[in-house]
Amino acid sequence: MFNSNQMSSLRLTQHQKDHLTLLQRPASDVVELCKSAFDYLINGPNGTRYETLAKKYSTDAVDQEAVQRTVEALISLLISVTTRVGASGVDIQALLRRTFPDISDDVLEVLEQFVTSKRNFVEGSIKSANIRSYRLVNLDWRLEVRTASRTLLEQCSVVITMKLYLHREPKNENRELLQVDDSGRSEQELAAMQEDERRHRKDLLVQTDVSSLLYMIRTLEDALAESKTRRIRNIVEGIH
Amino acid sequence: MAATTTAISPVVEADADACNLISATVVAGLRNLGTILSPSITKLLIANSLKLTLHPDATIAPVPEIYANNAASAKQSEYAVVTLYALATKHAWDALTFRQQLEGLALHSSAVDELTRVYEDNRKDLVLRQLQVGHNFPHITDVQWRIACDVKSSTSDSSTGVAQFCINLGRFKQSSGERITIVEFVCNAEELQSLINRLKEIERHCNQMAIR
Repeated sequence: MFNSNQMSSLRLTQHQKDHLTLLQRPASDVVELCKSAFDYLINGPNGTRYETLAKKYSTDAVDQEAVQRTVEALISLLISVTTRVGASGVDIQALLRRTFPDISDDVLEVLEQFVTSKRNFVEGSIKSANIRSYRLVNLDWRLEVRTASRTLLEQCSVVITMKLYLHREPKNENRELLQVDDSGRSEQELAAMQEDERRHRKDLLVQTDVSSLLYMIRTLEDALAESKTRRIRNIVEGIH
Repeated sequence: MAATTTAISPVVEADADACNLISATVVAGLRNLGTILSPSITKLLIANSLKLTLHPDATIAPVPEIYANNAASAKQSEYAVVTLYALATKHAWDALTFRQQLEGLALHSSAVDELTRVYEDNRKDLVLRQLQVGHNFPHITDVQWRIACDVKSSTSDSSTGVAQFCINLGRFKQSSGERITIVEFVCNAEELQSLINRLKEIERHCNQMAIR
């Protein structure tokens, strides 16, 4: 099954293929288009940028709309490759070559870079579009000895206080992957991002004692060891 | 307990006499023991008060004979015993100090004996009970985990090919044993390994502290 997948090309619609005719241009132009596609992913469409590009390609009677469609088709290509390839180690270059038999090697290389460099981002976005659970992104801890309380003036109990940082926004993590520059953003945009963070981030203060800590370590190590067993690996590989 | 709320420094408080710590109402309640309330009722009442103190959430079978005669005195004494034990535990009195404090209050000798005996026998439990009182962050005592791998989803036709760990940290209710989830999150193998490393780092520091 994997072999037949590897042999076939990507299934693009005729529309998508039409929109990608701009890939026949020199590699430097394709780089420009790919950059615009990344920008689209973060900031949405940018009319003036496409207008400028269209003017540059005006000899081929390309208008702003055609540039935008190309950019969108590139994103669609990025998604198709990502969902198709996953982690199965398919040769991306060969796949692209089969899909676009008539583009130059330079452009093919640009395309390959384009789809591989942002694969994590797209994968994250696809997953994040699904049900989101909290992920643990950081843990701060402090060792405390409680020496007195209102109900017990003399005591000496060791307490481990931990702060768990939980996020459920692969989206924002991916934004960070794309190294978004905050400096050029309007206050409104920043406020929206902060609001988004507030909604999707949670800090939690918890505590535990030493014996529970040891129990936690042991149990989590069991879980990790279990995941590395032949049985689990076979299942994961089998359904992949 | 009311007497403890007066604003005096803990050092002064610890050295103070029982008369300063224990209110007149409590003293009166204690004086009922072995006098207005018969020795057998006194014994029952002290045992029952201890049970109420140690297991506040549990359903404890009522002991109606305590309140059969002199219900008001019995209630006052019950309040007094609970308060006395709470104060003695708070100030970490040993059995001897406890007895001395009671002797200073001119109680019936059988009541002093019984109160001291029960205090001595249950001191550890009383301390453990009072350790739980007050403000704490949720205390994790249990971990549950699940390994899951997606096959297909509404947003992607292919599996991500990676097993995910769903980790649930929780605790058990002392009274019912019911499990309560404190937090739940997912992580991949790498993230789980780094969590384990972080927890081990804490453990290492605990060990170092213990050695010092």
